[in-house]
Amino acid sequence: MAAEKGEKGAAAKEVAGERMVTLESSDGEEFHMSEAAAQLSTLLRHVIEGGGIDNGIPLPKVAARTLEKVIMYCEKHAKAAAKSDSDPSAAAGSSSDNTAAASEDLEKWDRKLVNGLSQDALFDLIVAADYLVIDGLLDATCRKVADMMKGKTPDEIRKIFNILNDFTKEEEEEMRREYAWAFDD
Amino acid sequence: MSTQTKRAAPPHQVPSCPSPSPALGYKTELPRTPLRRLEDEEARQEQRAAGLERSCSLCRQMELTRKMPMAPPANGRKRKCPPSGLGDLHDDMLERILARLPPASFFRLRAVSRRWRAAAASPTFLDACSRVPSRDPWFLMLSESDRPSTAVAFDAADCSWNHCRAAPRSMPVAASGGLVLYRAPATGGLTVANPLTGASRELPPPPQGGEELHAIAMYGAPYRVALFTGELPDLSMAVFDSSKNSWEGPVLLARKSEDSSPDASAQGGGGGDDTVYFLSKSGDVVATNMQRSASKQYSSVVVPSSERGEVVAYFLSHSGNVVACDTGCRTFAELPRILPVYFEYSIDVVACDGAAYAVVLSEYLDTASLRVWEFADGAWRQVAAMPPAMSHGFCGTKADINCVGHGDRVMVCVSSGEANGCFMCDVSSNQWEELPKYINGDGEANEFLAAFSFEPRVEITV
Repeated sequence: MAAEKGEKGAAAKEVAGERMVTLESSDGEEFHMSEAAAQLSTLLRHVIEGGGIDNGIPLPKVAARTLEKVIMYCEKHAKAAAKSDSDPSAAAGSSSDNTAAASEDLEKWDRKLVNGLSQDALFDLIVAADYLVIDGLLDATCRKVADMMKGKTPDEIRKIFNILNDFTKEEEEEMRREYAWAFDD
Repeated sequence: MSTQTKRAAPPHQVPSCPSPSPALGYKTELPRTPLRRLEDEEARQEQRAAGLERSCSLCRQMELTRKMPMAPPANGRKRKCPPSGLGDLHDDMLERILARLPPASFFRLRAVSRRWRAAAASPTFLDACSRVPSRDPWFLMLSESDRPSTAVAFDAADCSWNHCRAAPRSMPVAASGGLVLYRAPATGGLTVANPLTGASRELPPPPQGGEELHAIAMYGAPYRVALFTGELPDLSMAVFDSSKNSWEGPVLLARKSEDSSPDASAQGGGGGDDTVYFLSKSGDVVATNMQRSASKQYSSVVVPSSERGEVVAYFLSHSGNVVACDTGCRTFAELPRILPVYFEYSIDVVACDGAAYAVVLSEYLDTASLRVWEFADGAWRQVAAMPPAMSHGFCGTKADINCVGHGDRVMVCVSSGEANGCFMCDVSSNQWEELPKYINGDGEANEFLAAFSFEPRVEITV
């Protein structure tokens, strides 16, 4: 919804009464994003507040396919936040069921977003969320990685993530014993 | 990809193998950047570049060390690294991910590499753990056999049994968040412990009221411990605040105005009467003494009250009435009985999803039933019931039930001389499941009397 191509140099224009910002990915593609959504990124928020974004914000660390996902996430969450803010019953605190259901739906949406990603794409999304300082997206992606690691042995983890085992055999044995006391029968 | 672009840039020099011992963790080599701030963007870029350098030196180390996960690279592959991936995350990210794992997993994955082990021990890792809002509970089990050194906990998420550390010569009486409160029966001394890490602390002795202890509750963060003493209708409360490390009280609790006391006296129970006489179905005069088994003598459940940081504590009086004490308003109320007192039954209270429930095992004709009741709008309402086929086995056994709730689930431990079992009930869907048996070191199945639920949190201190 936000990945439209726009004209260069018209960054902070208004679209349907909403202020937009232009972002440029590392591979030169332009993306538009509502300012409300951009506020979810602490980095972008500071850049916008600092002014001087008329020519768009270059993001040399974020590739187009990753930026697309980032924008999807921010727009979705910005819309959800706006909805719950404008809902009078939510303000009164009476429809806690509605807000609980809404946040559960949002969580489901987040999970769906990260579940569809390859390992490489997931890694790039984590790096981007970290760089742009988007806490919620960082949380969702890290949770996904944690889910991938649950229940796996150290060996399996090393294979998946390409990590070198730098323990001695004795150290490995000791750690295996500690673990076995607590968690195996 | 931006990261690949960086790696392809030629100028950085591959450092030689850094030290005599090739197995130094990343942490000790790289400048440790504090939790990211925007101004540190430059520093982070450097760290990431250094991290990528590390990968390259790793390739060279792989030729030197015998422990190679893959075959030695052919000529010309020395400077190429495995494609960037999740193994290249920097420390903050790794810690964030490890913090999200259940304890069984992150303890096990400390063995992946030295860097991971160091990450799992760092203070920023504990910080990341404290930001995880909730964890699937473990249930600390209480059994008759006295094995104080090794306690057993049931991991509900994994459906497995784990060992944890117990406080010596003490019995668990309450649990909240990641901590368990123990009480030494001999001295009345109280100890707070984290069952996962084994850290424990003795609390200063409570103010002596000379009165009989009715129930103990633990709640809040930083944690507080409330002792309810006295006999109905004269209940008092003393509260220990861990942030102040001191006791307050005892203060007398006022009876709440909308109390159903006429109901209680009509039943012949009344507050403070240990023994209740009634006419049983067969016409005999029998007495029931609702003295609870020592394991759950002082147990209570807490649900958050309207006042921030305060709770309503529910516990059973000696006559089997549910009593509710509001720590904020300093009032108490006796709830009406669920069943007429002449039904033989065992009752316990649980907290589930922020509400209090009563679990009742009753016998009628030739069958036994186990039901969960909710108190709402001044009356009890049944919300769940164990399938009759499951509960029938307890008929005539005079079983004692001890329950604990966490999230939307309730664990019910049924114990008697003849029958024994632990069941998990999902209250919202009324699904019941029996727990797998725990076989101890002697090859016997442990018989559990009761359980306390706690969140396994490595970062919680006493």
